[in-house]
Amino acid sequence: MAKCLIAGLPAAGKSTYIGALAYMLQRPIAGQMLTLSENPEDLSYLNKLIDPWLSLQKMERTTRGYVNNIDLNLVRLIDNKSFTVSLPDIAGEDYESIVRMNSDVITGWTDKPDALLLFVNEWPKDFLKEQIGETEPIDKTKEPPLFTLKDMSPEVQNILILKELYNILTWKKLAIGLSSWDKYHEDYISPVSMLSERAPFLYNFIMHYFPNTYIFGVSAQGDEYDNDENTQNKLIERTESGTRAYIVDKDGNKCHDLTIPLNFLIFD
Amino acid sequence: MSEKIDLIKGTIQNSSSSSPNDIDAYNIGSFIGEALDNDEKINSLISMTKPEITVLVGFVGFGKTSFIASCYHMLLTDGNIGDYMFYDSDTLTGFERRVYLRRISQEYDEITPQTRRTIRGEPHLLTLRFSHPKHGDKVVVISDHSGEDYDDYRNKKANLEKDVLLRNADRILFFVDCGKLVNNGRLNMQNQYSQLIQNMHETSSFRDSVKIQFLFNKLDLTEGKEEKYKLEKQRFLDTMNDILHIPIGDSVEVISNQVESETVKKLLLDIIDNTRMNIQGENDFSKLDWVKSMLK
Repeated sequence: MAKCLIAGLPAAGKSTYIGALAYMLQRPIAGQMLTLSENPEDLSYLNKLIDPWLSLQKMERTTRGYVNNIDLNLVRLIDNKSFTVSLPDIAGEDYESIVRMNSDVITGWTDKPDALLLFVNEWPKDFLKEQIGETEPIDKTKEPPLFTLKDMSPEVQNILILKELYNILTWKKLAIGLSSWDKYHEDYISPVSMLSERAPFLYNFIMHYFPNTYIFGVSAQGDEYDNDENTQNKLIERTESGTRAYIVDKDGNKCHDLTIPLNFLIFD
Repeated sequence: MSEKIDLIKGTIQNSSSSSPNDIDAYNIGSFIGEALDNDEKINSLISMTKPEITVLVGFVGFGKTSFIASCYHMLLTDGNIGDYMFYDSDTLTGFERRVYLRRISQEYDEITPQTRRTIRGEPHLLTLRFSHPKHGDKVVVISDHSGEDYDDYRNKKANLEKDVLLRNADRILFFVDCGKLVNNGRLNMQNQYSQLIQNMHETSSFRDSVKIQFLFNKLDLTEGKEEKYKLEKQRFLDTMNDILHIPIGDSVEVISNQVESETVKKLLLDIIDNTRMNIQGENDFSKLDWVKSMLK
């Protein structure tokens, strides 16, 4: 069985991607690389992710402290090759806790993964410049709060998570998904250019240690959810036509096949 | 590629399977990637080349943390400096703590020494890893003790003897608070450094080839007092020359809390470049055992 760990900080887009992916595996679009060969025995956890995605509702936060294992029997259309992939859905807080020197949940996952798919959805702020004026008023006479994880830049947290996961699990292949691509597609020509411009240190780290990483943009929701009926109708239409969620490859090419990163991690 | 990936393993403090039980453990030294807490730990740094060791020396409030935070900020936002690509550090949390400390130092009127120490953490060794298209990978080690530690060193010589890294420093940067220079604080600062340097001499803390530099920080505080600053700076340097008996390199003037300072950038680049020169000059170094032969 091929195993792929899906990692990321809280709200990185892991569960939304799994929900959209699971729906597409059941209802593949034309030319989709991977499809389900048979339904899983138990669809209840997958449906917890698919239902809100179909209803255009925000995903509930994954419960921390548990590994929700999702085993999928997949087949690749071009060569009819079958394989089973295990995709554990683990709360972002559990990945965060790795930085706090507690990796119980991750190490408790039974087998080492062959591949890692890391989602990134938070970007560094100019943490030194922002101190001038734009923060909430504080009582300057009080003792300042102690340093906590929230004071650490997300770029650095992601690097620490990558390092520690590699230390523990030594996966062979890596893909990085830049979530909410629909928000950034007008500003960056490709996910690679966004990563190198917004988080150059993370980009350098990845290129130095894992130069064959597959970097892609992903919009699993397809767009922002809002109350506007027109937007909602468009998202529903796009869901039905298989054109709602999409990924953008390293060169900036858009494609609605969400299984491409998985194919890269498991097969290529 | 596999060799590079292997370097990740063991370069940071591993997580444990135990949970932090109290708020202190949660905040103090409880993250991976903390600064390294004793000098011998640089022997465990995995590197193919000898690191450049720079020791920042200064008393409380002289701006060492701001300097480190500015350097780190530059590297994080640009991703490179000169032709060097910044790709890793073994002590990312140590840097993040210092950035946070610098931020709150500007936001709050006063921070007690205890809080400052708790936030900053006791460990003082920081590392930066760079890659150069021609010269390959390099490690820069920076020792950033607290100002209180240097007070301790000037008061108790015996404690200075334990500082192995200082005796192996390639460069020592002495921080000078320009605000004190122009506000009748020179004599006190001179006395602090005289006592410290005397103790450093008596404990053989200066390596033969060590590069000594004075970094005149908080230059903005001399505005309107330029003449006095010039005079006081020269008097201070003359005194230091007399005490040191070691050639002093070019002094540097900075406002280290400036986020984008060309002077800080130039100095950092010089520190990294020095690493390259050391390596070229030490071809007989056993590639993997350099640390063992150096720090004992």
